[in-house]
Amino acid sequence: MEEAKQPMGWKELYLKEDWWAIYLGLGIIAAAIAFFYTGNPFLKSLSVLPPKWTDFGILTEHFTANLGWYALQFAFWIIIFSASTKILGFKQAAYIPSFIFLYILSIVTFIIGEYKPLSDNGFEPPLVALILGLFISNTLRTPKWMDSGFRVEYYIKTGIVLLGATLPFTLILWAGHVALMQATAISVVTCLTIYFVGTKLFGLDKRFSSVLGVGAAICGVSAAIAVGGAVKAKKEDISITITLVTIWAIVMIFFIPYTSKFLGLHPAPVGAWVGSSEFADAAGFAAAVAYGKMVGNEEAAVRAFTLMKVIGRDIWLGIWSFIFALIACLKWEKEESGAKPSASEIWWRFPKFVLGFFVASVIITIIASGYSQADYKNILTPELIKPIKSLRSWAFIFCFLSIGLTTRFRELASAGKKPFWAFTIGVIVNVTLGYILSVIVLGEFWISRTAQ
Amino acid sequence: MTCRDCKYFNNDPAWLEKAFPGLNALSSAYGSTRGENGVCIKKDIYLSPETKCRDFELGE
Repeated sequence: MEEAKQPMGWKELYLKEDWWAIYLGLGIIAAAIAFFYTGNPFLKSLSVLPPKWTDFGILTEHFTANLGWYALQFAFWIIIFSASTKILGFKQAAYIPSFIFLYILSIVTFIIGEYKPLSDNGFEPPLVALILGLFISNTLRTPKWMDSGFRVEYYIKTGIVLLGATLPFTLILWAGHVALMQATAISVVTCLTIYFVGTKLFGLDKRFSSVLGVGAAICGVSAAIAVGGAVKAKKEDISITITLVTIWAIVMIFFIPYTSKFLGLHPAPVGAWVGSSEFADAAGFAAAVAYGKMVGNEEAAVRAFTLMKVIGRDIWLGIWSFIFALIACLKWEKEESGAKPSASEIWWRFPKFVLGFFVASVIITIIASGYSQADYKNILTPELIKPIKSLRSWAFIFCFLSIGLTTRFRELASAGKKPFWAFTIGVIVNVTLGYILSVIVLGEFWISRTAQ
Repeated sequence: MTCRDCKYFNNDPAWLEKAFPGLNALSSAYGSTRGENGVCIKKDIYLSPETKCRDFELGE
């Protein structure tokens, strides 16, 4: 007699990219700490980034002086990403050439985005990456096999773990609960709006409406593919949700930063606003980093965004999924459909990379506690934090370029008017509520907290 | 036995990213949040491998 296949279980330790993001991120942080305590400047040199420039001579001089370090950095990235993606099951004959293309394009992106007349007008590297990627994928049409190197989620998760090293754990303790309350209020209102507008006003199926709802309310496509399985959505419903999330996420990457610039907003509440109202981590980081750079205070925007999106929304996805699985099972099912939802799903669907983010934050907070504020600024920041931050910038640029390079508008499923309007009404509610709570009600709170 | 063992069920991440165009643009089939969800190609629904139905046929 045939034996039933076993669940993946703990094999996810090497079969899910979340865990690899933790290994890579914490590995880099451990190396940075080791180099810091031994006084070895290797990682500092390896984390080289193209500088801001106006004169082409500055650029030529920089690349001439650092060519060897760029070559070493490229080798570093391709070795760690290639080894890990091989274990995840990617064909290296596709991944390696694709990553080479991505790395070269990243350098081009930094060069364009760091050109001062452009960056002064809001064209910072994240937005340049997105525009460049979208242009290439929708006009020049990169072959499909190259997608294996454009791993949006893998790069952003690695970047988020590295980000943990620049976010004091005390900030998470002091502001995490506010982020959770704000994000939950907005998520619940958005999800219920879309669900009721979808089912009552447009007559959409309740499963489809719930997938649309969580897509806008929690974490975009990731929520749709978690909850979609829990409620047994039609395959087509998932495809339509992907289309709507992608289009609105890209609109928001430009809308929130430029609207905020027009209104002259502080980057901290804007980061919180993006965290409440963007649909995906990758898109949200693009918007938060872009605005932070526009106004010369990236950390405030990124910190508030991370608290709101990662702590306030992402980590609760498993619970949302479990609740919808229970509703589907107890209220919607018409036939026997196997096992009842298990609470263990909350753990298996937990975005594990967040654990790496927490660990990184705790480690650096403990190290920093042994330094005075002046020494933190003069010793720890340039010698330990800066190299981690620079490598984080690379991981983010790989991600932002990958968003553009994998967003092929012609391939997205056609959405239809009813789902479009149900989702769009939810987006309007979400963005408005996000603005009111982040900027008007809690604006000062986010400014004071992220300044710590 | 559940959908996990059924010949109509496919949850291979590479296949899912092809089956859902745009999935890899802002998410990934290789992440934890998907769990082991996949597609029933007989009914064209997206579901958990722990479910089962009358159309079950043992896969390889």
